[in-house]
Amino acid sequence: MLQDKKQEIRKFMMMLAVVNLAVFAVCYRGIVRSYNTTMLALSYRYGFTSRSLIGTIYHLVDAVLPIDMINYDAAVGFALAVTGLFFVVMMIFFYQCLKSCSEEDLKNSEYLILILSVSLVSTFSFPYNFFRVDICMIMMSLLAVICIIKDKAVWLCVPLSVLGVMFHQGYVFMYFNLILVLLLYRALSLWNRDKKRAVYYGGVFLASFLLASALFLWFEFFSRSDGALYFDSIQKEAEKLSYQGIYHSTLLYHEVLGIDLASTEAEYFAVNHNQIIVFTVVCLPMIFVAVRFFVNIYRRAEGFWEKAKYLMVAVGAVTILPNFILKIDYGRWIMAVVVYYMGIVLALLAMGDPIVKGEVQRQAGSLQKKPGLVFYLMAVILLIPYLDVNISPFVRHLASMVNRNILHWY
Amino acid sequence: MKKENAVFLAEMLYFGLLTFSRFFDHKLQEHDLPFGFMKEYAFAFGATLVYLILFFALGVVLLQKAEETNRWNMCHMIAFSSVFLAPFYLHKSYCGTLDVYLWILVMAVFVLVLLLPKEGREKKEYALIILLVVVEIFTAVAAGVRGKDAQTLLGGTQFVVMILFFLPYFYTAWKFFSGLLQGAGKEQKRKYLLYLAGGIPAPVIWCLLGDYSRVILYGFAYYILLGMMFMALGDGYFAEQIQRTKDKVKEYLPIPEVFILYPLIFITFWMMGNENIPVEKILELQ
Repeated sequence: MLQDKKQEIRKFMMMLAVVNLAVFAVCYRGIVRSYNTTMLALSYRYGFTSRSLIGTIYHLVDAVLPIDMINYDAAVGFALAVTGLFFVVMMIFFYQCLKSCSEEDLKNSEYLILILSVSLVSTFSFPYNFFRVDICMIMMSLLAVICIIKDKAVWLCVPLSVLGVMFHQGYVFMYFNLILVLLLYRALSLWNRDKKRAVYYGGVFLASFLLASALFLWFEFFSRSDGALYFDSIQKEAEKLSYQGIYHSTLLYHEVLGIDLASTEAEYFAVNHNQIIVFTVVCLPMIFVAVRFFVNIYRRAEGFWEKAKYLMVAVGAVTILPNFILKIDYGRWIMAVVVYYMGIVLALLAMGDPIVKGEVQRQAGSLQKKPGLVFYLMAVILLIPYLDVNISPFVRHLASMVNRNILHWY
Repeated sequence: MKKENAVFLAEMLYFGLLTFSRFFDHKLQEHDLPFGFMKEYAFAFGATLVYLILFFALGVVLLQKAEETNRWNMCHMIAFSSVFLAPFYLHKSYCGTLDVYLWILVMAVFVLVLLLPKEGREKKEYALIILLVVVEIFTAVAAGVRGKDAQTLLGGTQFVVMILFFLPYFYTAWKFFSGLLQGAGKEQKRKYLLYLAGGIPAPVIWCLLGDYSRVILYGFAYYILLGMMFMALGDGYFAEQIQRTKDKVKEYLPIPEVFILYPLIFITFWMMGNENIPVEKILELQ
């Protein structure tokens, strides 16, 4: 790596660390919501059940350490440690992207990383999503993407995908798309040059897809058979782990007893639909740039398989659509969309995709010629953090004004 | 108007609309004001709109007056001033305060000065410095001391943490002023020293009153606004020093825009934070 590039990356990582620390300082409140502490009460002691991996790890740590971890303060400490680990993995991912991309793509990658980084740090430091299991899912995807970018130990994508689903079966809709799209992208890109390697990537794709799908089906439909036997003990632990003993009852009824309480969420769909419209309108400039970006890439691709490859890259986020239709945590789904698109472009720049490089340079070139670029970066600050039912404080505020004065949907 | 300026102003308007949506809460708190009608919601809201329109108009005129070589720097300084001046008086704690009316006066005077013929630049610059210093001190005394209108949105610990995070700005300001004063002539030095010293009293008063948000606002807004005015009035030496400082900033910031957006992180979450809700309320949410 050239000395100038090394120095630039070092300066950028230091700047990013300071910005991330500032974002963490303003967002972190030292509390963990009941949903996330209650999840720690679930573990594989009660069977191979969904969302129990993080609780199992927690109980292992409790068994190993000479202190009692089954209390709220220990849960907060654990949450801080895992969040810290997440930020480290995130920074390693960014560093690898910068190290792998060419010098002419460095600046553009830096801008994308800045946007992704403040979005992630703010969302997962802010109390609503602090210690949300999403950080574990994102970590698995980022580690897998590093392997794909470096073209080393790509087989790790299989166990990382499995772990992602074990953290939360919703992984197959949310962050798994990054791994799948990039594996298939590699397979299609290598097919004419190195068939053996292409088949290897195809094999890893198939293994990841099949195992993750099988696990999803197990967790979703078969894993809760003996829940009633263990409910009381899990409930007692959840009380000890949660602030003032207030645990998340809906989570336990759903995960342990298999009672589907989706009907209780129906009233929030009106909020979701109002907010997604408002969010789309506000983000129209960014959506316009993104659509133009992918349309141009598709047009520049030649041949059926090339076009199919870039079409897959462009629409890879469609895996999140079932979440938008069936579930109400729109803030988390928007975060997943942001992670996908930022992550995929960063990965493709790191892998030196010529069409993506060219288009990024063209679009970034025209944006960087305008001093008003700073307003779009500032818009990102105003739009974060992403929450759960409400997309973000900004959207919640604006959407409630729209609803009160125009729509009257809720 | 040039197309590039129109595009920039449209982007500034976009940011302004986002800021309005983020921070304006349709609520008005009780403030000590000289006239009863100023306490009415409609009047306070109207005054806030007038303030924002005048701020935008100032941006328009500044861009028109900026020389082509300084256009980028002027744009960035306008963006930097927007970070502080756009959201501040939208928050319910500051909406409708005495500050708004005095800022309306300041903005109106600044626009008028820029529209006047170019002669008498030095006198205009002195007048602007004195006007802003007097207005800021008057606001601090009238609203803060007499009106007891100091707000406590930003806690003492948060303020100290912010100051620590803002140390790069103090370093940059020190480098800027030392460079500015080093090469300046006798007359210029007097003006720049007045400019430097004039920004201190009001933030100190607000700091003693415990309104740390206003410390930040007045501390930054004073220097940025007057800096823009100097450039627009044709102070070439000042503009060169701005460029030199910007070049230095670019040496240690790979993304120079971070210099502008960084305070917005603290403004959004701490200074203007509607998210400053108690921990227990967040925990109640299932």
